[in-house]
Amino acid sequence: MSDAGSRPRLKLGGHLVPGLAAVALFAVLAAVFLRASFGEAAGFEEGASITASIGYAMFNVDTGAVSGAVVPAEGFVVAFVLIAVVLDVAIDGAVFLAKRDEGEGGGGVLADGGREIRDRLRGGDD
Amino acid sequence: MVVETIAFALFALVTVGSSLGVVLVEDVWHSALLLGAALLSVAVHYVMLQAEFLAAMQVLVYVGGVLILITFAVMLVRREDGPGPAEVLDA
Amino acid sequence: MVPAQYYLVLSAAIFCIGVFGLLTRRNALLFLMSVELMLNAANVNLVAFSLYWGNVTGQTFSLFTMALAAAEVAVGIGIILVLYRNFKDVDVTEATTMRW
Repeated sequence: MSDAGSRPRLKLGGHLVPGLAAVALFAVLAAVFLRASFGEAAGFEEGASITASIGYAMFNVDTGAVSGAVVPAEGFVVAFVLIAVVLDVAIDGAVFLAKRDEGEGGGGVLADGGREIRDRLRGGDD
Repeated sequence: MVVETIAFALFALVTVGSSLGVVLVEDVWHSALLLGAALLSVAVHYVMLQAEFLAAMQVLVYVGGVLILITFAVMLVRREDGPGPAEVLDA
Repeated sequence: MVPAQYYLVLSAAIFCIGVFGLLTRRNALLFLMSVELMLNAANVNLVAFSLYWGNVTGQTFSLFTMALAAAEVAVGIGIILVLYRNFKDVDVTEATTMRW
């Protein structure tokens, strides 16, 4: 570590097959995409507030009663509630995983395949 | 139109380059920094696509939340035998 | 605007870089970052077509994708820290005690 310091170094070599797989996937995707035609771009309606339209779409607001131009969209309030539940579950999972072992074998996840319990039972002589 | 295409090409180059850096660089810490560059350039793409709100959310959620979490993890799981921050500073 | 095909190719490139990272690296943190790259590729696609068809559904959906990605990272960091605590390493090929 004399002159190299913390200069970034590339980790290359030994990845020929996965690299070729990824490049082949990209080649297929690019060939398909470049040959596809989507017609003319529509673009957003002139003068419409995009952020407000996102808000209307997220909570299923009836855009007929809203003044001003609105970009059309579908309703997302069910997805919103589902994501809220998923986020709740995620924070519970994160807290559960991050919990340390309190004392002997309380709380936390023993994700070592029972190695720690085995060592403790055998007195750690293996 | 031409300016738009040039800007797109420039930032696409930044995005692809830093994404390649994320997966090719040896040190995880450098990967995290390059991931930040990639996420920020994706936010620039959002601005070019008239999605300013999403660009702001990208910066707030990804760079401000996800990247900070990843940085914490990188610092917490650094191996003892690897070139830790202290050794780099000593050298 | 720039043709939609360009954005498709860009997001395909980011996605394939993420796949490459998943296939080649053994560090669990690199896995997490590669998954982030792939989710970003999907988001770029959604936002590009949102503008292309003048419909804001894609942008709303990519907001939900961002929330999901944040939740995924929170759980992933917890799993990686447990992995590090039990194996003193984050190499995903080391954790084989559940292999039959």
